[in-house]
Amino acid sequence: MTERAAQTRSGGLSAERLLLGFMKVAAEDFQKRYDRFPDPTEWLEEVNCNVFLPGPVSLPVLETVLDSTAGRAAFPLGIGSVGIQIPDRRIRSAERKISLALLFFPAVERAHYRAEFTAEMDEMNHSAASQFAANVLLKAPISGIHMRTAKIFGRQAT
Amino acid sequence: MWRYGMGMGEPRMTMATRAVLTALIAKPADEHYGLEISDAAGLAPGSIYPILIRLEQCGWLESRWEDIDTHEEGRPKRRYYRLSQKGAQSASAALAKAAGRRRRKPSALRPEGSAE
Repeated sequence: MTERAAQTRSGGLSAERLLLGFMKVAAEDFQKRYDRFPDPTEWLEEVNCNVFLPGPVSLPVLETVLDSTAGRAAFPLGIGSVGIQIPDRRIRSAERKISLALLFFPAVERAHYRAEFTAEMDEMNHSAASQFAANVLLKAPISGIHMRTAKIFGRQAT
Repeated sequence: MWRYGMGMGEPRMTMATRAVLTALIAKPADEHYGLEISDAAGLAPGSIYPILIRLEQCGWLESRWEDIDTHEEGRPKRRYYRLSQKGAQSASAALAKAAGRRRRKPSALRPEGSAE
């Protein structure tokens, strides 16, 4: 039923994204309750418990959605591997700190530094990433001042 | 593509700046990403960006994005920094000057006429 709904809706794109949204919510709910990633069967059950879903989803549908471009971006590890990678609380906290730090930076530089900080945090464990983000946030005002003064006055503030 | 600084003035030689420059001067031709620099300088990761920004603005540092296929490598592109030609020359001189200043400081505090 859901498959049919997915096929009939605007070429399948929005239905695919909708399903991905349900899958993400289901995985996050499961992780909150059991403090671990669901296996494929548990994930499927969790998705099918969603009252907003028009009908049950089968495992092949889940796999098809996961194999799409949007699916691979949302869940890079897929369904059959070690589980779903959901950012844990410390990673989310690190991301929030980085976002806050970037507010001190000139708007044109934000994307560049976000990419740089993300790349640095990629090889760290969660607590190290959180510490890194805290240090970036702590030093962000002075970084922002350096960038802005250089832009405004064309010289360095001392 | 290397990004060059704007070539402004000389940075303030704070202890952290000296530590970063010393780490970079140890391998002046090599490229380093932020975490490597903070490890080598013995500074907290994430705390060196104001220094890197300032050094880049002074034209002492050059930076570029790593040229990799992110899907193949399975990680995002890093930003690499290295000393520019100007930076390598100026940093050595600035570090020597700062070291000289530090050596002179204790005697400057001694009362006049006191024995060495």
